Parts: sequence; C-alpha cells; structure tokens
Amino acid sequence: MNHQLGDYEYALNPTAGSYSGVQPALSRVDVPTYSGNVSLCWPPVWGDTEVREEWEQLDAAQYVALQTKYLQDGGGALHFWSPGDGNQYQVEITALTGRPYKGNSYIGVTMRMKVHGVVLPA
Amino acid sequence: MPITLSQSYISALAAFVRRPVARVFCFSGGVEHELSDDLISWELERVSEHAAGQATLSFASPAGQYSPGGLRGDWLVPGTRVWVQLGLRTADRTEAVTVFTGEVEEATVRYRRLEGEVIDVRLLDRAGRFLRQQLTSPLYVGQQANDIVRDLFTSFGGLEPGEISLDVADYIIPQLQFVEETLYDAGMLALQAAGRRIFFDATGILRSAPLGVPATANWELSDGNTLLWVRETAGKPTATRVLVTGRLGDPVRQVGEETLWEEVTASDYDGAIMVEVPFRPAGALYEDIRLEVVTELAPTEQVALYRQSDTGITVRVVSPGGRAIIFRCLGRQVYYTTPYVTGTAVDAELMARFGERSAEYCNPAVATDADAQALAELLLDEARRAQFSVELCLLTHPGIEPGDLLAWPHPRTADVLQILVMSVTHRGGRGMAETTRVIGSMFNV
Repeated sequence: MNHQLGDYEYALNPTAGSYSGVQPALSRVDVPTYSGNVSLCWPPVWGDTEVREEWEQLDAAQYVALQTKYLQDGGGALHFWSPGDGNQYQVEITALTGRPYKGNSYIGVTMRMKVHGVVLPA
Repeated sequence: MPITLSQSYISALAAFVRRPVARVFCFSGGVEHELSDDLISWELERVSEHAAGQATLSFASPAGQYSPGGLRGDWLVPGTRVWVQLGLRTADRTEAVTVFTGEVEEATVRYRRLEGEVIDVRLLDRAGRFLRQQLTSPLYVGQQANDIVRDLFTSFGGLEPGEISLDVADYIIPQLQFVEETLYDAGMLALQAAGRRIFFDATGILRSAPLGVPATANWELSDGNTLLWVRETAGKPTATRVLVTGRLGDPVRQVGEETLWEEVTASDYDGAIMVEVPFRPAGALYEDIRLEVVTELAPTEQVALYRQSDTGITVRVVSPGGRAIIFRCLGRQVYYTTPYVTGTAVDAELMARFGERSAEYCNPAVATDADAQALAELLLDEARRAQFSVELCLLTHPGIEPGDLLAWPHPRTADVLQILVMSVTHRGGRGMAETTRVIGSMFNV
C-alpha cells in the first residue's frame, strides 16, 4: 500500500531502509542524588517524533506534489499522512531536499516530517 | 492547612523511577482553562517572610495563540488567576497537588526568526496585591484579632469569607486602628500580637499559623533518593536584643516641680484691678499656684489669687494709689504621659559574643507588657536561628511549604537536624531535572 499524504497518494514509496518509520521516543533524565540515582521519565511527546523518507530517484511529478504540500500556506501546514501501518498521523513537513536530474526526475530526495499526533485509525 | 500527600504519593516520591506531571490552569472569562500542554518551564517561589510569593512560567505560543489578538490572547493577561499543580504518575493514576496560586503580573512574548513564539508569565501570589494596597481602617474596640483580620480582608481586600481560614486565636485587642497601612501589614500586626503569622497557602486561601517552630517535623528527608546537594552557612544572629513596643497604655497624670511661669506688672489702675494671667506656655496646666510679690507692699495694698481656670488665673491687686506692683506666678505643672506596653528579650550569651545587635518592633495591637515580652522572645528565637542557615536542593517535593519543619539526617554525621523552612522554590521544565530548593534555618545544630 502506498503512503498517502493529504489527498496525494505516493506513486513510489521510499525504498526499504530509506524510511525511518514512526518511532515515538521516551523522554527521560538521570538525576544523581546524594547517595543514589533517580530516573525521571515522561511519556512520549508526539512533537518530538520525526519521520524521514528518502528516495534515490523520484519522478518530477511526485517531487512537485510533495513540494506543493511542503510550501502550502507558506510552510507549517498540517497534513494527514497514512504510511500504511494502520494509523493515520497529523504531520508537518519540516524539510524537503533533492537535486534535479535530467529534467524529469529528482535524485537524493529526503523529506522530513514532524508528527503532531495520531488522528484515527486509517 | 499544610499540604498533605497521600500514602501512595509519598511512596511514589521515594521510588527510584518517577514520572513527574505538571499542570497549569487559568481562570479567564469565567471559565477554567488548562494550559499544561504548552508549558515549557516553571519556577515557583513561596516565602514565609514578609514578601509575596512569585512565579515565572514559560509557555509555547504556536502561531502567537497567547499573544494579543491570538486564539487564547485573553488567557494570560495581567490580573488573571493562574494555579500550578505538580504531581506524579503512579501505576494506576496521576496524583497532583496545587503548589502555587497567583495572579499574572506581567506577560512577555519573545520570538525570533526560525524559532517558535514563547510567552513568559510572571505571577505574584495574593500577598503581592495586599502588600501594596493601603487602607485606613475603622477603629476596632475590644475585638478578637481574627475578627479584625477577617473584616480587613473582606471589607478592603474583597476576599470572600470562604477564602479565609484562620486558626482559633482568642486574643482580644483593646483598641486598634490602622492609618495608611498596607492591608497585609495590618493583618500581620493584628495576628502577630496573638503570636501568629498570616500567609496565603498554595491554593490562595488566607491562613494563620503559630509563630515559631512546629512541635513535630512535617517531613522527614532522606538523602538516598531526594537530596541533590546541600549548602550550610554559619553567620551571626540578626539580633541579640529584641524590643517590642505595643499599644499606648492609659494616660498617667504627673505633677512637676514648682516653677515660675509668669512675672506680671500691674499698673495704670485706680485703686484696684483684676489681672488675667494666662498659663504659659499656652496649653499648660498648673496646680498649687502661689503668688510671690516682688514689690514691697504697704499695709493697705494687697495681691491675692482670685480665681483659677484651665487656661489661667485671675489676680486681684489693690493699691489705693494705683502703684505699679510686680508679682510672680509660680506653680507645679500638670502633665499626662501615655506609656507604651513593652517587652525586651536579651540573649546574654550571644550579646557577649556578638555585641548588642538591637531589633525593635512596633505593634500597636500588642495589648499588655506580658504579650510584648512573649512576642519579643519569639522574635529573638527567630534571630538566633538565623545563625545557621541551610540550602537544600531536592528532587521535587510538592508537600514542603514555608513554615514547615523538616527532619533531615545529616549525610556525614547522621545526626537528625531540624530545619525550619523559610522559602521553597520549585523549578522544572520538560525534560529537566525537576527540583525543589529549600532555604531554612537550623536550630538544633
């Protein structure tokens, strides 16, 4: 199943090993006390979760579609994103980079997204 | 009422792994709002001294939602009531207690290109407002100290009766009026006479507690899992002698030595004259008045006191020839003194070591010498304790309040020291080591 970003369905998913997956990280800190060491732990914060997708080569049409989402509203727009793991996430595209190649494609494409939360099961 | 923690909370506070929780609420537009999700960091300070507790909170303000004109632009405006809860998540629930309640004093938005907008909010607890509000009170006659404080804070402070919860203090103040006094000072003076102090608790309720040291420790600290560091300081006592001056006593009539208060020459009269001699200086009052005639009188001449009033005397002078006659007016001046009730406490041992370091307190609510003496002893105790101060940094302990007594086994000597808490500061933020800094005085060193 191809990833879906808003109303756009990817023509090409990131290849294996080029997709970070959605992996919320716990927040914690070690506090040395006078004669011990205490852990302070907080639940994962969705806003700390970053997703990375990479493509070695991407059709210009898909790149432009992603770029349109990236630049929407001058940046910072929130999109619904379904990576096919059974969940739908609300994401913000924080970076999109790639180099034009032979006029109809882009190479070395990387897209980073910040997850703002799980919306509902896709 | 001190902050109380449930047994499960106390167990969670001693665990090696803790899951802190911080919640912030505000009351704006008649509605309670929670702002916890946007909280970045906090610093909350409460003190037992004569000062307001204050706090600084920082919130993320995405898209300027807390800025003027933002979606929540009226949530953190000056004057808004804000309260903070700190707590822990345990296996089955989250427990949190309110550790600070105050009003927004100032809100500052800061933003830089490529960074999110942040709003910093400075709060003062309720004492902050009443430390600035001046009043001239009615004359209270024969009223309980508690009743006076209640009346002051409801009539002038606008508190609801439910926002005041004072311990029983059966202390009658014979007569008391405050003139251009701050409201907080007025309340403090009225209850200090009864050996108590006033304070706003963490939830914003006005309360009272005995001056001095609680009989038993409120909290026992263990260095194993709560203590980060300690700083102890030995210094001088703030006073070796304390004088407390109370209300004016009943006026006492006193009479001075005989003095000459006027010399008069009677002249230009025909046979006899009544001479009015007012008391000098104006307003003075004399008794045992005596006239001393300077001019030698002939057998047919006479100088006599005819009449005395509150303002002077009338002297009858008789001289058939209308001769100039000089006489002097003498008398003992009457005056009234209004002594203060006083009490003095002295620590001879400390005075021998540090010299005389006097502290004087004036409290018109103190009714008798015995009460003044008792208050002086309490204040001298406080000055003695200032010799040994201690600063502890703990992992966040939301139960500790100013005025609490801590029992702390010293990590080196294992002696259990007692610390009277003067100030408590909770600090923390997302992903930070959340701490409670306690400054107190040790008195069983």
